[in-house]
Amino acid sequence: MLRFFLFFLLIQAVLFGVELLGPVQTGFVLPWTGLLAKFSADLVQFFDANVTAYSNVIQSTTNGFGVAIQPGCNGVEASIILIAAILAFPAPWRPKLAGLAIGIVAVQAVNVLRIVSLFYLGQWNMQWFEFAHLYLWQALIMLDVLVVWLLWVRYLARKGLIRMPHAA
Amino acid sequence: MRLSLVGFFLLKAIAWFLACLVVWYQLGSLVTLPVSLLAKATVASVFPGWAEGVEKAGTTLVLLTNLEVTGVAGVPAGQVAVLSPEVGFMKYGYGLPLLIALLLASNARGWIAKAALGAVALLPFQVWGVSFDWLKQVAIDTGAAPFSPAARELIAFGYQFGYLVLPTLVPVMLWVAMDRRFLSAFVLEATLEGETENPNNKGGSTGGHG
Repeated sequence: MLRFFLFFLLIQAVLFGVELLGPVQTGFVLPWTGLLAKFSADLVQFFDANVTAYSNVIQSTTNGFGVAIQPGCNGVEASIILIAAILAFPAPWRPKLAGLAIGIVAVQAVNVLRIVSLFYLGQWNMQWFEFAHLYLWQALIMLDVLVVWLLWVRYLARKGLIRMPHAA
Repeated sequence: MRLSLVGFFLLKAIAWFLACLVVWYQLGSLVTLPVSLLAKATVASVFPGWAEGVEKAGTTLVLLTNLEVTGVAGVPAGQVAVLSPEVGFMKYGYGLPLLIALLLASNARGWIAKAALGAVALLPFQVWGVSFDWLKQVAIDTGAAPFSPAARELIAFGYQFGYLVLPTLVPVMLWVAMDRRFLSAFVLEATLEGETENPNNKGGSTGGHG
């Protein structure tokens, strides 16, 4: 357990440091954030035509309300935590790679739900928007990461790919 | 279809988190107190040259400094102001309701003692978040205190890590460390399911992992 924790923290700190580098921000994080805004707006337009997206902003064309997707809201940090948790866990590489691919998609899917829900919540009530944005969704995204990781561990256990851990 | 242990755990965790979050939010000023005391001791010892203390106003923590600033937002042109950066504690503190929710969702034995221990264990990380937020304002937003470019990079990293990662990650790590019984039961259940579905798995747990 200690070995897993140490590897997990190390991988995570390195990936988080890499994420903050200028070239990574301009080459990946900012374009990804713009794509996320565009995808969220496209999704919303299925049931609400009065929505547009530019740069990292989703905006209502009826009341002008918009949300800008900032660092911390683009799911990159949550994905980094999941990547570190999967890489640090003792398992064969093939299920690790599968877990990373499926897990990151699952984290990003919940993040899109978060963006869309905050976009409408903000148009309804800014106090609830702040509450959900600062506390509620932050924790829910982490719960999402935890559950994805647990489901991956469950898969490993069902396939007989991990040993039984010792209870505390 | 039977709800799996993970699904049941997730639903309970969300329900408990919502309940604990509301209670914690109502107790905002009270839960800010330990952090303000620890932060006061921390900044006074780490930056004795310019940090003079910490004031608490509800859930807002104000760092008192002797740093003078000019030409920043809120200061009229030609005038000098003393910098007192403010930080809202709550955005660094919601790990406590998350930890309690996880303990309750996993039916952790002795969850009250574990929650109390967890609350203490969370404090240094909350102080990290608040302190780096102050430092960001002092070193990067206003440039009021002289820090080298490398120190500014470290402050930016510490701030981002303290804001984006630690508040949610630390409670989950504490929960995993404090309730390993849940993880063991969870892996055991999955292993048994796997053996029932595919008897060839029996005894197939292994070494040689990457």
